[in-house]
Amino acid sequence: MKYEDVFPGSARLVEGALPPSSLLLIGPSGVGKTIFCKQFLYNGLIKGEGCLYVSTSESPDEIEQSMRNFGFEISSYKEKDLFRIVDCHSWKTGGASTSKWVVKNPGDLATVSINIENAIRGLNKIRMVLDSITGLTSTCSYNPTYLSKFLQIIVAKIRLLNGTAIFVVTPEAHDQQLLSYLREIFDGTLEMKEEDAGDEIKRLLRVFSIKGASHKTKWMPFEITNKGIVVKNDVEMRCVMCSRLIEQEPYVETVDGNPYNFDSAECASTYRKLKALYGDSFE
Amino acid sequence: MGRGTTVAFHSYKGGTGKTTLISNLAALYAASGSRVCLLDFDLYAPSLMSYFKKIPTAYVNDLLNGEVDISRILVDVSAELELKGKLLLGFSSNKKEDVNAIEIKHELKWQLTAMRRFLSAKNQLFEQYGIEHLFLDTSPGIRYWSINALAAADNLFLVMKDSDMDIEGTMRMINDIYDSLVKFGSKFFVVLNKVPGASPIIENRFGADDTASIADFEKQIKSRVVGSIPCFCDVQFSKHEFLWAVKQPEHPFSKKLIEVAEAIRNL
Repeated sequence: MKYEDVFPGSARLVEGALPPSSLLLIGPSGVGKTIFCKQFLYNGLIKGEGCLYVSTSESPDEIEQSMRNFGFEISSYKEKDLFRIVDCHSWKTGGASTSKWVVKNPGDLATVSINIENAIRGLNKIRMVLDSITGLTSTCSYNPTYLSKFLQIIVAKIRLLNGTAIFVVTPEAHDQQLLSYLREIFDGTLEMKEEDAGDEIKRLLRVFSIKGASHKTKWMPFEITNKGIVVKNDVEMRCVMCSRLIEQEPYVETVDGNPYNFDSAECASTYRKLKALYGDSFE
Repeated sequence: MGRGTTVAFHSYKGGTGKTTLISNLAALYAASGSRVCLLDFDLYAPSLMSYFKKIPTAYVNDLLNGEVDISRILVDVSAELELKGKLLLGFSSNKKEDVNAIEIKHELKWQLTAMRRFLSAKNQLFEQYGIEHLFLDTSPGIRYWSINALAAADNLFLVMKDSDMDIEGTMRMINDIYDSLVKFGSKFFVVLNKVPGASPIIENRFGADDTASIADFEKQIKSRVVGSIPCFCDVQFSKHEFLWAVKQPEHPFSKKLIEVAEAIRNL
């Protein structure tokens, strides 16, 4: 059975269906965490799921515009009240916001928690993103235990709704103790990193852990394209019919007992037709 | 927007009017605003170039040989034909050496390599050029590039003439080729062309509007006849029929083609 991506690349990285989870996404600044989260939410919106974005670094208008830049058109979902934002950013510019849920003092985690609780009310099969823990903790100094308690409450609320949530953190801004706490709180951890590859930067993603799901642990390369994040294969794979580089999940079809990787169902069909007409000599 | 569709026009014998039909249909689609590409895959007896009276800088042959990209072979005739949409053409070379080269390249290794180049070009047409309808004019009979073009198509249209129709040969071709293609996802339809009835031809198996005979014929070939186009003397004996469906839409031949175009669009 072929599964759809819950988060970018999940169909390839996780075996079987991804259980409802709260996931920690760790990665350095600029690696692509925010677009990863927006794509995760958009994947839910197009399936009719309710989505909540808690943002500490962008206003609602900026979020909508940046999503549009990647082809994630959310205006119709906003109209249906499926896409909601808890605005933890606009306090920096005086508090004016187009969102109904504005946190005027993100230093007060209780207020953040109440806004999240209010914003998820009435949403079904929820997806949530908190982008980011680093942004919240940058507004005042938190006791790690207090922060951990706040996050555990949010995780518990999402779990009650059978939802999936991603919590973003930039590791260089925190000490190891807090990161260890965070890894404990969530059901799983996704990691992103960058590597220098000659004159360009190679971006990599891996699933470090997910409770209740079998998954690959290899670092997989990904690219940020104008359609969002595309997780690529770690080895070069080409369609046996059209020779095109297969960048996403291959379409695997068994022909005469042998599995072949195709770029699409169309290529698989063309291959089968030619094989039927030319016989075994067609390879 | 979803990926476009590929249709191939094929026949058992030559002279069925395949090129005239496919050119008119492609132009009709483009005239209605669609983005259309018509490629000449009658590599053994090319005729699209003389139909459109064009001399391109590169040919389908060059694409299959891996010498050029699809962008080099396309000729855009939309503006000169004043079409609302887009009509891009790709011609096969009618030079003796190019036709001979295709004839002798029978080994499957080259066929597969060339087919890959074509499929890659097809991806480009859909993804970069936004083509909605890709029309392939194939060689008659069972030859490498009629089979390859048919295998690359979603919908296959077998063009048949009533007057010299070789039912036995056509039925064999349907069993040998079309059945395999249909088994793996193609859809197959028949277009009857040059059907006696509109002109005073007496010896006919069925006339253009003989629906009972068409129904019997459909049972025999296990397919659907999507169009039955009468034989019009002025078209048949025209010095150069050129896109009458677009240029002379009031002519009965054009009206019939417009009906066929609509029937194909609704398949």
